Amino acid sequence: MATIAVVDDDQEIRQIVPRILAPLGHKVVTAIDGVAAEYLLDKSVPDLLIIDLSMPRKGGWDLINAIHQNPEWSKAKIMILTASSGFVERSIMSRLSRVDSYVTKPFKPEALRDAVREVLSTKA
Amino acid sequence: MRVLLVSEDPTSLQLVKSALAGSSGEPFDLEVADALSVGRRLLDSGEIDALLMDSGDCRRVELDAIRDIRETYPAIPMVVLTCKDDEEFGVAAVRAGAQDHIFRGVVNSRSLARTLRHAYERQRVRELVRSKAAAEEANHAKSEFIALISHEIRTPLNAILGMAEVLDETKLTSEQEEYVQVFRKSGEALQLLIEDILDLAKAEVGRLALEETEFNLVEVVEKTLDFLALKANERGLQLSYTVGPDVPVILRGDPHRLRQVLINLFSNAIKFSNEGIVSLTVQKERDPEHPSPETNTGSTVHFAVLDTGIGIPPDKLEVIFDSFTQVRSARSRLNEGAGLGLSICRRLVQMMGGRIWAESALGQGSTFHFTVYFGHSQSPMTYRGMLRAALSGMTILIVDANPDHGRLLAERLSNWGAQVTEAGDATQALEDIRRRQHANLDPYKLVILSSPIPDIVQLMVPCAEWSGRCPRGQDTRTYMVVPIAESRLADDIVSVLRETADSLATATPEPLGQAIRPARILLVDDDAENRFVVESYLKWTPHRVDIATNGLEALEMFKSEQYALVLMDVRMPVMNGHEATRAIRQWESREGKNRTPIIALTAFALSQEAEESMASGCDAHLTKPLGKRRLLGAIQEYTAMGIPQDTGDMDAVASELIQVEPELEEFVPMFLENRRSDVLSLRDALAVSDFDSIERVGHRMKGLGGIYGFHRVTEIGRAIEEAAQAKEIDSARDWVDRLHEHLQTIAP
Repeated sequence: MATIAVVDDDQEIRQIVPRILAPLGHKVVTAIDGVAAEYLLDKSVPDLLIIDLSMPRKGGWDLINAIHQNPEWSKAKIMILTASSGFVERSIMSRLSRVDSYVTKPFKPEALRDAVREVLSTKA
Repeated sequence: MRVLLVSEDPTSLQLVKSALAGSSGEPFDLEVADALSVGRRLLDSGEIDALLMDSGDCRRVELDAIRDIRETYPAIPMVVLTCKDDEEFGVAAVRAGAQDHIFRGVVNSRSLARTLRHAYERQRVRELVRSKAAAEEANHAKSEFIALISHEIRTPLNAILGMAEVLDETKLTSEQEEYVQVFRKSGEALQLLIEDILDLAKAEVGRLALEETEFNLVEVVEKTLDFLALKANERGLQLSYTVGPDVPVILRGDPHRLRQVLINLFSNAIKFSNEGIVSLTVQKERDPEHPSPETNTGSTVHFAVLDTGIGIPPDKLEVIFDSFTQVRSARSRLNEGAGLGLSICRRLVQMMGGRIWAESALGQGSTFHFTVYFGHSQSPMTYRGMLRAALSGMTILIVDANPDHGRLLAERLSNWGAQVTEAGDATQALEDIRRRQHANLDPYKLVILSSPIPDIVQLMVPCAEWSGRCPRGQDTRTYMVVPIAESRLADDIVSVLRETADSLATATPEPLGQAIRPARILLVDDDAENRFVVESYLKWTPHRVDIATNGLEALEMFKSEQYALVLMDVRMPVMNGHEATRAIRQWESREGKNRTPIIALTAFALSQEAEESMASGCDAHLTKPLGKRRLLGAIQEYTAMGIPQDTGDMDAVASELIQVEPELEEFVPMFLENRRSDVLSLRDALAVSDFDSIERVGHRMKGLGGIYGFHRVTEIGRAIEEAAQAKEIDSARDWVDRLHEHLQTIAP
């Protein structure tokens, strides 16, 4: 059983994603933004962070950078959610070496589960 | 035997001289020195076989001198000549390093000769014992070395291969994918070579052990050939295999060693052939000792690897199985490798209860045979049985323009238990497929297309998660085309389908139209990103895409080539999409050409742009970003296939028919409530032209709708976002109204 933290300022996402991930049997916690996420990380580093990149004021990338700079935190795997498509997706992809997985919104619930399964099963 | 006498005493000299001269047997050669220091020169030369030390004048020979000599010349036996019959001294001398002592008084030709000879023998024995100890220690050290180096080599190699595997699982461009495959295969080849070397070393120190486990012979053969296919293809060679129908398929033995032997033999065959086919035949050997198969507990399987390479001279056919020998040839630079392979093969085959031999004709090719005794498993399935089991009841559609040919294929497959339908062309095939869909029957498991190249057919199978076979990242429900030689039809069907039995059961068919008739498409777009996306979508289809980066280029290309379809972006420099379309239509009517379908690709869901596109002569418009399904659906619809739109354009259907994800049903009221308040906040933002807020709400809606299954909401969200980005207030308002309407229809 892994611990997954969902970081998204959208309350709806914070409500439905834990439900969507429930069948996987992991512990899912949520954070409302990057600051809350860092608080979570300080207490205990989750196995996976699902970070929404559409958070305002570049919150997503700031958090990701902060995670990569912290040796303890960077043990966590990072999955990004993004509703951007096409061009923006490409520039995100060019930074993909810094994240472990990405999922575009809207996603089918099963697709999200597959992606989470996959990212949790690959070695760090 | 050369003996050195060290003595100051002339009587001793005389005594020894005459004693040795009178001895029988091997003659003695006597050298004399009157002091040790003089004698050293001779001892150093290494020509002295034995040393006779005289204690002279009854003065005792220094024991230290004896020790010194023993140390300096450990290989030379020493006998001390005593002047008194002094046993104690004699023993002390032997302890100090002499081999023996003899009392002058008893010296005669027999006793002296015997003493010297025995001393010599004793010395040899001592040396042998020491050598043996040294050899054992060296052997032990060698085993330790092997164990150590094995770990040292394996660790980084595992890291390399492990990383390659992980890399393979990330999103890669197809170019990168190719590179990673090379990387992986080379790493695996290196791993095998190292295993070979280590195995040979282990075998020589007696540390090689055989496993015993149940395995599927066909699977081992297939995996082995798969592994070798890259190397073979690089040299322009093909690999094939045939298995005799009565060969038992599930066996007990060591599959890894079997694979090792096969890889060695195949690698050689590939190395020494420049063209043609390297083939493997697997037959059951008639066992003279157990003629009735039901009573025996195992079978001997006979493998033969045939190549059409340079051949081996007859006098070398035995010797090649010795370690480190290679056949010298004029083109000796091709003979890389340590020459270990065949000697390992022989050892392994022998360990597995068989034998190995080679046949060859120079300039024509070679066949390497080997037999292995395998135990039977509980399951007595033969290869014939396996084919039947795999194909039994399988629904297959054969599409062949030549009815006789199609019938032959159909018969062959029916014999193996498949249910075969024939179709004469693509249209008929599609009708068959649709008919099954409408009748709620399971889709065809396999579609076989005859190919313009004789002897090759193409298999179309649902592309499920086959690593190494299916283009990675491909939608798992698309079809993959595999060309195979007709003679290998059954083998290859089995090989291609065996691992995916489950996936086939659940795969749903895609409209096959787009995979059957390739279309030549002209893509006109100035944006490299967008072009890349479209090319990626079409990469694994047979469609051929030409690129133009502006309207003018498009016009030129259109005039010089025949296209089935034009995808025309609207906003471009030099000449935009509208102008280009108009120009094309004018040219068409002037030249009396048929109208080629043109689809406009518009960035925004603006009715104005769409209207203008249609007015300039387009047949349809699609909004970007272009989903793959919509693109393929459009291509299918507008190219010469002319398949009517009953099942095409899934998105259009989906947007009318809302299927909510069952697990999220309880959240739907919340979703709808949020969307209704979104409408309110959007209207507020519209009133003050707050485009940022409008964009944000639209963006969020776009990301949410589809998760539940409300795809129309996602579409509208996207439209709102884009309108706000373009600061098109009217359009934004338009879409917000539509959102409101849509929500009303869902939940009044």
